[in-house]
Amino acid sequence: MLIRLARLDEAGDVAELWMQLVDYHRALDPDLPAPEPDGIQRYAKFILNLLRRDDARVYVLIDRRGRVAGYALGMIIDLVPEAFVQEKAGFIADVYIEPPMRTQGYGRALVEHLFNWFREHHLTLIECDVASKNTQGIAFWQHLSGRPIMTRLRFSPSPFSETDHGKP
Amino acid sequence: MLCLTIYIHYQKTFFIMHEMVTREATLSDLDTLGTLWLTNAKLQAEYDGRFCPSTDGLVRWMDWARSWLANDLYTVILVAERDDYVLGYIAVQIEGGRPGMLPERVGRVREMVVDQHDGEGVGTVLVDAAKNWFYDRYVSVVLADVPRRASVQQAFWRAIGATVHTEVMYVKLGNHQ
Repeated sequence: MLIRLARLDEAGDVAELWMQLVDYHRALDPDLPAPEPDGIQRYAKFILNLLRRDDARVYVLIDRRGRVAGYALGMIIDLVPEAFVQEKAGFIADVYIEPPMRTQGYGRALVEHLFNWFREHHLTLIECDVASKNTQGIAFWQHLSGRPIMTRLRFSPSPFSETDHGKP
Repeated sequence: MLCLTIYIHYQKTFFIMHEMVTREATLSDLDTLGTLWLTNAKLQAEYDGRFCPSTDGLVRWMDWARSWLANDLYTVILVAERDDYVLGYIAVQIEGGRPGMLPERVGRVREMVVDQHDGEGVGTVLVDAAKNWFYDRYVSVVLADVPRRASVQQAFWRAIGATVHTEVMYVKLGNHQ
């Protein structure tokens, strides 16, 4: 097993894993976003762009057959609005390990690589989003001393018919 | 603008109340909105230490608000008022969805602040106005981040029909084993 930075020619492999991640989430909660019809191609393009940037890192887990069996994507972003005391933060967008490779510490190892990269940039605050129904994912982050600070809620705008506040 | 006058007979005195209305904020609202923002920001810092207003926070917030008022395509600040008195505001925007995912555009509630002293029903009116704004722009999904420890806010959003989507977690490096 090997963990290293993803290469440009592996963007498609990472996108295949991303698709598995989306399916995994949709199985947990059908209300979570669906992929676009060409989602894999779009995501591969997105990864390809990130691999050329200095403010993002994609680490991959390579299995014994040389396949990409997991990945973790991290970015450096400004999470705090300008009016507040600024603290640049690391954002971990995706972590995924293929099912047969789970519970062997590879997810943690991938994340540790990102943590080290964040440390090199003197970042101490790391944020990630976890689907509320992904109890395994929440437990994973809690094991890394992660704590939930915000709940992201979702609603759909519907026609407003009861009154017409503010309209002529 | 709809303005309904209601007469209430209470202890032999007649009061006149006007209905709350919503409208898009203008530059002339900035001072009032800034005051509301600062009051709320100090409260929010108690829930989430990351959001501590900087020393020049109000000036920065005003700059940010000005830029939002100038961008009328993807952002808006809506205010609720009664008798020309601003009771609260909601700042919302349309942004791109996550790469490869549907929908391609999502709505985000960036801020919602209600006057702590006269805020009954203001949040619902503001959210309804925001829903209208999004609906008119064909946005089908809106996301709002609410501090985990803000139980009143959590209850409010659930009451208007919002469902839990994701947990936003953070890790302080150096603490984990």
